[in-house]
Amino acid sequence: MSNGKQTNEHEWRHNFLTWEKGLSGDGEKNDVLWERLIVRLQVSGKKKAAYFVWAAAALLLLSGLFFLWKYPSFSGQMYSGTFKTRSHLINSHLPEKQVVPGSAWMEKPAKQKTTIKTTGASPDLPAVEQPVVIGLVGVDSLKIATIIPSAQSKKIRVVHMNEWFSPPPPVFAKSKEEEEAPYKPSVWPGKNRRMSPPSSNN
Amino acid sequence: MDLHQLVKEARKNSTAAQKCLFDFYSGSMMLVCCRYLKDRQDAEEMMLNGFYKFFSSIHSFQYKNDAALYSWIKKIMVNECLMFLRKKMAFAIISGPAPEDQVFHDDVLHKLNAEDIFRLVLELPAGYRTVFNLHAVEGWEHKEIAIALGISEGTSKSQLNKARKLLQKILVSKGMIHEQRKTN
Repeated sequence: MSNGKQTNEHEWRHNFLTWEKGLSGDGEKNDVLWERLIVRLQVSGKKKAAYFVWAAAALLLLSGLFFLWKYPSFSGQMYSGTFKTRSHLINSHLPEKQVVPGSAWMEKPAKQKTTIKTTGASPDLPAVEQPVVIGLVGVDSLKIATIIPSAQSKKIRVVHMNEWFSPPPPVFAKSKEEEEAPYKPSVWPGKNRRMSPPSSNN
Repeated sequence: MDLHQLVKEARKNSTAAQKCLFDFYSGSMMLVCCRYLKDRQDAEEMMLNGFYKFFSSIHSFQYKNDAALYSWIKKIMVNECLMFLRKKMAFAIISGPAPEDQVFHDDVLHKLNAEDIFRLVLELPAGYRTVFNLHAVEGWEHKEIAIALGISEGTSKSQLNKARKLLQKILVSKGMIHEQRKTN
């Protein structure tokens, strides 16, 4: 009996599942549902593509940073090259005595005296070799000013006190003699009067 | 229709293959979702969620035969429905015990056709319907049902018992079967 019941149970379940599996979808309704599904699938596909692009960009950035960290001399060479040219300019304007030995970017002189002989007041006293104290003499900043190109220097116009409030003189083409002649205050009508001291009679 | 070939094409993101698979399985999967959720809109949403997961994870599926493919898709649909039901807290126990003197066996259902059984199952409350679907229709053990629904094994058994008794009552009320009483 119980076996019959179990058989019946299995039978109705099998029949039900077979009926359920064989059903096909409603045509029009299916198309509407498919449209909704395909939109969702396409959006997820675009999101995945965007993730790949961002991942590739992050990878490129990391590899660039790693390259700079691993090979710093690549950028260092360019930097030291710039320094070399500047130091070359500075060195050419400095006297030899101003060369500081031991500095990072200035060359040492080939021969350097570390001791000098000093003579005492009396010729009888022996000459004593005294060490030369090579101090850390910095570069004289005033000397550096000499290497400033002349184009950057400001031209100063000397004006006579009589011409303080007068407009600047017009610029005309000068002859060769005028250009070579020394500077003279400009002659302006009405302004060519001498500042004479008050007379003692009045 | 060669389902193996369609699965291969769907793995390459072929829209035509995906549509063929959807058209082939949408009818039965819609029925499965309706059997659990009853509400047609919720069932459509869960069916679309299930197909989305199916196409997203089709690369991890190893095709053996058509029956294995159908079982895999159905499992995805059932899991989607169960997750939805758990979120909605649809396992409320109905108050009021069913009459104890009535006897009900699942074999009574073999007298009914499949469509009647489907309509009968839809008349059950959500909690009873879920346990009945998982045990009587899908063939799950009470231990598996308890883990899936987050309930105890005892609750699963009592829910199934009450579902059967309610089915009995419905069948009697509709005149499909005669009332059977316990004989002492």
